[in-house]
Amino acid sequence: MAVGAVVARILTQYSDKGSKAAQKDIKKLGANIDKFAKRSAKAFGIAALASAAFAAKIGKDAVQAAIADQKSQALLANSLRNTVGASDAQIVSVEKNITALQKQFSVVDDELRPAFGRLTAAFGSTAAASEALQIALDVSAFATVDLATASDAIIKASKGQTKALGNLVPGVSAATLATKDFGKITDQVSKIVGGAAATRAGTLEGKLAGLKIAFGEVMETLGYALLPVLEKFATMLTTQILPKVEAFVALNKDKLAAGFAIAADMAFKLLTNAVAFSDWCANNFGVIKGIAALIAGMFVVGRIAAFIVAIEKIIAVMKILRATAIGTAIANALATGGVSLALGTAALAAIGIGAFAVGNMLEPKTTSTKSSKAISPRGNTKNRDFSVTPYSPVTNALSNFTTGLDKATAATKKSMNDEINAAAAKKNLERQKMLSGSTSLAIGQGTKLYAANSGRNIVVNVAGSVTTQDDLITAISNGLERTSRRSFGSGGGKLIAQVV
Amino acid sequence: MADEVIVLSGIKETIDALKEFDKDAVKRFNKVINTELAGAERDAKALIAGVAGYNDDNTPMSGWRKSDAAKPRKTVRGGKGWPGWDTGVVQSGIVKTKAQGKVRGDYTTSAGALLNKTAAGAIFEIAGRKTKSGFGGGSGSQFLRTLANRFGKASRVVWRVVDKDKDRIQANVARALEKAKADLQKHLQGERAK
Repeated sequence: MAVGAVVARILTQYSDKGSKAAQKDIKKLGANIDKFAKRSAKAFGIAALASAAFAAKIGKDAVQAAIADQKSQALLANSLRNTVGASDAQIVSVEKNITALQKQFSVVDDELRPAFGRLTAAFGSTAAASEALQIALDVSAFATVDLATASDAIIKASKGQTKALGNLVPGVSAATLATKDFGKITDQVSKIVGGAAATRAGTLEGKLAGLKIAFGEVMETLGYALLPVLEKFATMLTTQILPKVEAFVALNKDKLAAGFAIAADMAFKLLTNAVAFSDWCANNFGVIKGIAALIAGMFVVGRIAAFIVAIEKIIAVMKILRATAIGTAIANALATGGVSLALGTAALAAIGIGAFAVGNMLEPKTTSTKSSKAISPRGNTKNRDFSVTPYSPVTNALSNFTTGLDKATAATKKSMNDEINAAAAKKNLERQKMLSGSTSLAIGQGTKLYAANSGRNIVVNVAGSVTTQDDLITAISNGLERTSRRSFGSGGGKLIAQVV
Repeated sequence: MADEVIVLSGIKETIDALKEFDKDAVKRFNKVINTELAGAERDAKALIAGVAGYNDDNTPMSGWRKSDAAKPRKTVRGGKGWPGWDTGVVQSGIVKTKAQGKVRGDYTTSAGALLNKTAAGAIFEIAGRKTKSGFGGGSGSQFLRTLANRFGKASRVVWRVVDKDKDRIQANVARALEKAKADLQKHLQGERAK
């Protein structure tokens, strides 16, 4: 199409040229949607987990609330039966009344039921108790005390003890209280406090309390739904699971006891050996690195059974270490190389002991296979019993190991120290000898030497050098001659050097 | 310009497939498109012819040179100078095309369009579409005013024709395409039945 022209498109078609771009865009959009979906799923997953946790909390609270409510109901029903011989129908009626009071005055049923129970016991009938409970509710709201305190005051007043009620409701005249006429007293109290409970329920505090109660009722309802499930589980636990556990314990108690005893004994032995071992470690840190190399090699090999063999080999190696050429080599290395005792020991132990022992581990001797079989984690079914006897080789070997190490290390240390001292003395003698063997060259020109005290003598000492003393003297003489010839020519008197 | 666009799909595929079965059907379809586009082109050229009759010198305005400037100013059209108006050249610059052109962001391309290719024709077509007449008060402003007074507001040639006839043309072509697709389908079913 012409460039720069005015283009008036009449017909438009979908372009297959643009289809790839379209697909790319759609794919990108899809990827974005997928990403969004994944993020959403993650977010919703977290929310789901949170909600699940919350649901679990709700379930727990609900069950607890239901259990408490059930207990409260049962106690009241029992109290009513015992005190006034209430029938089931009366109990149901009381429960309905309590539920209505709870909603009306925003007082929880867990407070209403005990109060009603005590009032029923005091007045001998549910009808009288209901009236008294209404007064108690008003007194409670008026005096801002709990319902139990208000109902107790009313009960006391019914028995002629009016002081508590007088304190809660100060408006009651002393004359009225003095009459100890419960009817007159309650009439006057009702006049003063009447409607207080309803008023309190109408306040924000009361409404919030009502809200809380309503939520509690929901929880109780939910809990009542969950209770049968829990009861079923508890029944199953009691009747099916626990008896089987008991039977199992009864059947295996001896093995269990023996197993625990042996396990405890083994733990004690291991602990004892571990303490001994750690003491030895603290005292012989230099050797530890060699042991570490050995253990590392052991785990590389992956044969736990070989551990026992390896321990025996370590003991053997440590015992013979002092008698081998390795001991001398160590001593020489320490004396001449300037390395520390610990590092030298560790390095040579890592190489010598580790290589030796691991090499033997790879080809364990048949005499040690009994240990391998005994501690194999993949052992036969006999080894899966409660008995831990198969582990005794470990404890015994550990004990022997530490004892042997102590002895061997002491002997090795002594031997090594002797070797070190001897080697060091020898080297010192050699140095002294080398220093005492210095040669002095007198320098001169032509055939005449400079004065002996001119300070122009050359002291030749090959200590630490790779050349011999004669070669060095010859090299010096030649160097002087060459230098003088180049500086003064062959005609001049050349520099000379003579051994004096 | 029309705001709504009918996007045809499968023109190329239909025609390519139809060629295998019924070349006459392909010809019929192409004839519809060509006829419609040719009609639009003819209408656009007629508008130019009408312009030519406005002045004795066959130009839109008396001062519009008939040939390109011999020594164009460097400031005019990037040094190309003001293009001369030759009615025949401008008319020949108006052509129909079925080239697809570049793909737009909405994944569509052209299946038929009118082009106004000459510089003079393009100026006549769209002068004043962006810059309103009277702006600045100079000769350019007077040019725009005169153009608008004589030939109406931009666009004045190909777009004017397209705006006028687009719906009809699209409908005819779409109908022809449906017919071609139906023919193809018929042939394909016939092939399947064999």
